[in-house]
Amino acid sequence: MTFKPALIAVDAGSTDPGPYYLGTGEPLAPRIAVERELEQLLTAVVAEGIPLVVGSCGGSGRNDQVAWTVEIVRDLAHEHGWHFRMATIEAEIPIETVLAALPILEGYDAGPATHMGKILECGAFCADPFGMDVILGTLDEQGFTLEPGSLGRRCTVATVAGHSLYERENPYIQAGPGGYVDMTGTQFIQVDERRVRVTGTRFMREEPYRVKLEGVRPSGYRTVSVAGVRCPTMIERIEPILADVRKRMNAYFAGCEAFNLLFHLYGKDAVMGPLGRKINCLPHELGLVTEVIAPTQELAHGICHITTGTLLHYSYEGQKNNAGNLAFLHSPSEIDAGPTYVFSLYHLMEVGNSRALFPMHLEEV
Amino acid sequence: MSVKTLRELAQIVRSKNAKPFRLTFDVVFSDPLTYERVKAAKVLTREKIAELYGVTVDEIISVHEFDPGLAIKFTLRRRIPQGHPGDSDIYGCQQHAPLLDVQVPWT
Repeated sequence: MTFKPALIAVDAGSTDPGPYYLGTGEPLAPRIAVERELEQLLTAVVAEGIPLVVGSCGGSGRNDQVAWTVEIVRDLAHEHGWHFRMATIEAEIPIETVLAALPILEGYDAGPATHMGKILECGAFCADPFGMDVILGTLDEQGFTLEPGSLGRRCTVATVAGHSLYERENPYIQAGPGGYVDMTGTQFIQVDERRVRVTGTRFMREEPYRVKLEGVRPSGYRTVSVAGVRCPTMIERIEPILADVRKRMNAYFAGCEAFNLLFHLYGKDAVMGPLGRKINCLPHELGLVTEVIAPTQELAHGICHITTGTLLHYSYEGQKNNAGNLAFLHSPSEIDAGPTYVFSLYHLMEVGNSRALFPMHLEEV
Repeated sequence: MSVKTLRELAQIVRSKNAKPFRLTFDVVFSDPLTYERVKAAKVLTREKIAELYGVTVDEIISVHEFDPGLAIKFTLRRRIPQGHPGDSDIYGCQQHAPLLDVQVPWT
């Protein structure tokens, strides 16, 4: 707070953890962590009399996650005897827009403001060494200057410019609500050891106004089973064995609703799945995650149980051990993981009146 | 002619989701000289990326040489979108490994 910032802004959301949180409305972070961080942030902004902006509350910014966060804020305010005006905006809205919103409202150029917002949303990720703590952005008429909050970090031209690469396809052009940020003419200057100045970023407005729309849909229920394989006779034949078990399961459950049976072979090609080139070497141990996604939890559980049971007592040529093929990690050996979701929508939508999509509520706390 | 790997030459080699339907890969260097030499060696062309990852050239959305950040960057269409059944890497952050072994002629 020695930097005397004009506002503090944090990003509570991400699509990184997958579609589940937007699908269910379950908060991504545990309540205890959100309480602790909001308490620190509110203590600081209440003392300074500056705004606090929290984007994509609860992980996805769903209305129920916004309400959950608002409830925590009200509780904290009550506990500490704080009074302030709180605005909540319902709908999913990208955080860089939220971070840039106040500066643009105060008349700053949307180019540098939005570019700065895009960098600040990841905190000190644009510093060396990178971290998840704070970064201070100072906006002026021509551009902005970045400085890490922690004295143990520094911003360099490479770390700041390099941030334009992160999690996006095009480092020069980045689409946002109402237009795109053009960084083809952007200049990065090392001001001193810890600060970098950025100028020349332009915001190109587009008509009609478009906003990003994210959507998920339910895709069934999941059951998983975790087991290890140590026997070399099994490891040598694991692929044909799994293929045969899959064939048997398709026959066994032929009359049931469609399901997805997945084997993840950790120690072989589980991590890169369809992308990696196959590497032909035999590990001394394999981790097998059997996963079933089916229209009901009961069916997913049943298929998972029969599949791992078939594999447990599967007999094959060259087998020396007839007591069981899987070292199960747990009892019960199946874990019902609940509903699953998939991203079904992720695009820019044309809107006539952008404000009507994002209703705002004001209250005095 | 001797060679060096990207593991030896680059400061950062990473992969990450670029939204749920794409994977993006960044190879970032710490000094301009190394960056320019790797760039000139053309070790990350569309054809070489396709071979390295076992994908078709059509699945490569873009390849960028980003001079201000001393970085070479490319983006692949995800064969399985993030979190879909069968996805093996929700954050997409462990798909970079083959890049570490890419060899650059170095004399």
